[in-house]
Amino acid sequence: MKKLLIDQAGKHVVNVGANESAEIYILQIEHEEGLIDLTINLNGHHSQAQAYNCFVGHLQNRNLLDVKINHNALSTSANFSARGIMKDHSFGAFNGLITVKKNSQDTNSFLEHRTLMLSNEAEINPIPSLQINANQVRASHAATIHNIREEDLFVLKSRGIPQKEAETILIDSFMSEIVKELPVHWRKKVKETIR
Amino acid sequence: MLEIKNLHVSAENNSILKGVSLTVKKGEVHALMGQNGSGKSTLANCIAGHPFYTITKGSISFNKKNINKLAPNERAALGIYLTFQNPPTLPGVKISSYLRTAKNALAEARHESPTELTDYLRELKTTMKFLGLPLKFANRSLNEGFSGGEKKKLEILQALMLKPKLIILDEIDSGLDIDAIKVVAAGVKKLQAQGATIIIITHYQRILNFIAPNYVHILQQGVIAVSGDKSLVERLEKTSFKEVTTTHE
Amino acid sequence: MSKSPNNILIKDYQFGFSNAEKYFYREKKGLNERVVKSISSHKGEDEYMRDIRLKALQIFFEKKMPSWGGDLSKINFDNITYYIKPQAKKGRTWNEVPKEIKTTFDKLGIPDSEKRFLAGVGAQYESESVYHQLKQEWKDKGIIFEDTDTALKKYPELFKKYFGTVVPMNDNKFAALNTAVWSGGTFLYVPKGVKMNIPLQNYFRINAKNMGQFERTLIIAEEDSSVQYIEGCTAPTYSTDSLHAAVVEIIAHKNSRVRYTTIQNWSSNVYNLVTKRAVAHEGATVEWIDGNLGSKLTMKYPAVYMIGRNAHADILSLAVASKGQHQDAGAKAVHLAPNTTSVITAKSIAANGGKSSYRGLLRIVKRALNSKSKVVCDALILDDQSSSDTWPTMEIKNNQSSVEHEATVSKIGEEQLFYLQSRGLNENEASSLIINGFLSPIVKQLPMEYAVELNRLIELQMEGSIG
Repeated sequence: MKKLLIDQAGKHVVNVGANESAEIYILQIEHEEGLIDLTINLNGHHSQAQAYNCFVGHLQNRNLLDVKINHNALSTSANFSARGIMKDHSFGAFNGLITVKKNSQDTNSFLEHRTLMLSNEAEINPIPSLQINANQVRASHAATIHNIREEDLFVLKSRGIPQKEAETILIDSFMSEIVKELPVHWRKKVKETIR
Repeated sequence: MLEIKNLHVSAENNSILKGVSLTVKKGEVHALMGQNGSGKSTLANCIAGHPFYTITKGSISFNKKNINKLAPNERAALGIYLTFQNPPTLPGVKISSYLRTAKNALAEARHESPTELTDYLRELKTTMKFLGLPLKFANRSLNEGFSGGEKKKLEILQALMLKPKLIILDEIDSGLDIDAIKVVAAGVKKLQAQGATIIIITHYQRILNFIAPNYVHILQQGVIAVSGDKSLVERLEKTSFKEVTTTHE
Repeated sequence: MSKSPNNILIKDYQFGFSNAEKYFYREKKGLNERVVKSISSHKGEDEYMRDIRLKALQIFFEKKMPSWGGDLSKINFDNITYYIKPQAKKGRTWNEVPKEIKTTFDKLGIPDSEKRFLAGVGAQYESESVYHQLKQEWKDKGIIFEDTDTALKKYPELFKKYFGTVVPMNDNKFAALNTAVWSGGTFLYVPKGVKMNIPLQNYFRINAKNMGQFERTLIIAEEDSSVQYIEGCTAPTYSTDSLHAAVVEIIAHKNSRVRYTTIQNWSSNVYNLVTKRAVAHEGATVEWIDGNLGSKLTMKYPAVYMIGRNAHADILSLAVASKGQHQDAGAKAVHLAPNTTSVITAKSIAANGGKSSYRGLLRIVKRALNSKSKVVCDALILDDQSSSDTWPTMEIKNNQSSVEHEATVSKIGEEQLFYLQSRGLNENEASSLIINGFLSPIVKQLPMEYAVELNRLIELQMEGSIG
C-alpha cells in the first residue's frame, strides 16, 4: 500500500498497479509560493486510490492545487476528498480533473471539494472536471462553497452559546470531517492554524 | 407451478446456491427463511432472471416450461413477479404512466388487449386507496423520496395492478411497523384471492401470522437444510437456526 | 450496454428533405467587404448599420478562433454563402407565402401550432423572414414582434438603444461575424406591465447548401412585464457544411420575466455556434431552456448577467449527442449584485459515439453578497463508443454566498433495467423509460406539443443505441 504525504509545492506522480492501493494526504496550511501538482495514475486492474486534502487559507497565502486522477485500467476506483476554510486575504485555486480512458470499464470515481469562507477578502476558485470516455462508469463530483450558516449559528446561540464560540464550534465541526482522516502529527498543526 | 431442480447458481465466480430443489404447486404459500448470506435473495432474484447470477447447473421450470434462458420480461409475461428488497430509484419515471406501460406491455406479450385509460385510472385509484397510499403519489417518480414502508407498499401496488401468477416477496416485511405489515398482508391476501401462488422470504415470524404458509423451508449455505410446516417457524423463534437445522429429523 | 457496430442503426433525420434552390437573390460565396456592403444595400439600410457591419467584419478577421470547445478547424469561411433572399416580399398571410416554402413549413407543422397554441409565429427561410404575424390583441397592448430587419426600420431609436449592448461585436469571433452579416431574427418588445401568458415562436430553416444563417434576436422586457419565446431550427442533410452563428440579446428590466426556449435540431452537417446572453435588472428573472439535439458541433452557453439585486437566473440545458455529433453546451451565471440566485440544470446523453460536454461558468463578484447558486449536471453515456466531459469553473469572491455544484456521469443502471424488465418491459422499452425519466426535469418545462415532439426526436436519435 503506497502512502504519500504532501505539504509543499512540487510535482508528484503516483502510479498504482494491479490490486494495489494508494493513500495520499495533502496539507495546505503554510505559506506556499508554488503549485502542488499531483497526478494519480490507476494503471492496473482493481487499483484504487484514496486522497484527502485539508486546506486553510490565511493571511496572504495562496493555496494552489492541481490534481489529475487518471483511470487507465479496468475496475479501478478513486475517492478524493478536499475540505478547508479560507480566511483573511487568502486565495485558493483547485483544479481536479478525473479522466476515464476508453475501455477503462467498471470505474468508480468521486471527488468532493468543500470550502467554508470566513472572510470577505478571501477567494476560492474550484474547478472540478470530468472527462469520461467509457460508459460502465460511476463518476461524480461535488463542490460547495458556503459561509457559516445563520441557521446553524442560531441553533447554538439559542442554547446560550455566545457568537464567537458558536462560530468556533461550527468551524471545528466542519473541519473535523477531514482532520480525522489526517495523519496524527498533522492534526495538531491544523487545529492551531484554524484558530 | 414452479419446479426447481438441483439449482446451482454463482455470481462473479462465487458459488452461492449449491443444489436447491423446490416444488411449489398452484395456490400454495411457501416461506423461505435463513440467515444472512444463506442465498435466499439469490434464489428469489434468480427465479426472476437477474442478469448478475449464472445458473451453472440445474433448472427452473414454470408450468412445466424451462425458464433458465428466458429474459426477465419474458418471465414477467409468464406471470412471475418479484418484490424487490431494495427497490431502485427511477428518477423522472412517473408511477402512473410507467405502470400503465408495463401493464400494456404484458398484455401485448400475452396477446391480450390493452386496458382503457379510464378503467386503468379507476383501478389504480381503488388499489392505492386499499393500500393506504395517498393518490398524489401516482404522479411522483418511482421509488424516489419514499420511506422504506411506502416503497414496500408500492411493490404490492404494482403486483395488484399487474396480476401475476407467482409472487416472490423478498423480505417485504423488513423495516415495516405492525400497521404497515397488516396493510401489506391484506394486499397479499387479495393477490391470493386472485389465484396467485406465493413464495415469501422473511427473517421473522410476524408476517407469517397474517399469511399462513403451507410449507416452510430453511436455507443454509446454499441448500435447503430443512423443510416442514408452520410449526418449524415456532421452533425457530424459540431456539435458533443452528438448532433447528441440526436437530430436525 | 456496449453494442457491436453491426447492430447500430442510424435513423434518418426526418427533416433532411430539401427544395430546389430558386431564389430571388443569392450572394456569391465568401466573405469580404463587398459582400457585407451588398447585404446592407439589399436590405435598404442606412450608414448606421452599414458602418457597424463593416467594423464588425474587421474585428472578425482580427480575432482568433477559440482554442477550446469543439473542432472548428474544418470550417471554410470562403465556401459559405452569407446571404440569400428567398422571395421578393414577405407574406402577410400564410397564403401569400410561396408554395415551396409553405410546404416546408407545413411539413414541419408550423401554421397549425400558430392557431392553437401560440400568440404569434415567425418563419425564417434562409436569410429572410417570410412570415411574421402577431395576434391583434397583443398588438393592441403595444407589443412589438417583428423580424429584426423590419424593426430596425420601424423603431430605430428603440433598436439603437439596445442593439449590441449585451453582446458587443468584439465579444468573440462569432459575435463579430454575426454583427457583420446578420439577417433576420426576432425583435420583441414588451411594454411596461404587460404580461403575455401565451408563448411567441419563431422557426428557422436553412435550405441551400453551404448556407450560413446569422439571425440576430433582440428581446426587451420593460418593467413588470413577462414574455415567453420559443424557437425551433432544422436544416436538410447535405454532405457539405453549413454554419449557424446567431446572437441573442435579452434585456430584462426591473421585475420582469423572460423565458427563452430553443429546441435545436439542425442536421448533422451544421456548425451551430451561438452567443446567447441576458442582462437581468433588479428583481428580474431570466430563464433559458436550451435543447440541443442536432448539428455536427454546437457551442452554446446561455448566459445571465445579474446586474440588479434580487435578480434570478434559471438555465436548463439538454444535450443529446449521437453519431458524429459533439454537443459542447453549458451555462454562465454571473452574479454582479447582492441577493441574486441562479440555478443551472444540465442533462446530457451521449450515444453511438457522440460526445457531450458541459462547460459552465459561475462567477460571484465581491459586491454580490448573499448570492446563492446551485449547479447540477448529469450525463448518461449509453455505450462504450461515446464520451462525456464536464468543465465547470467557479470564481467566488465574497464569503457571504453559497454555492453548490454536483456533476455525475453514469450509464443506465443494471438494477434499474432489471427492475423494469421484471415488470414486463423489454430492454428497449425499459431504457427509453429511464432516458425519458432522466431528461424529464427539463422536458416538463416545455409547452406540451414541444415536449411530445422532443420525446419523439430523442427516441429517433436513440434508436439503435439501446436494446
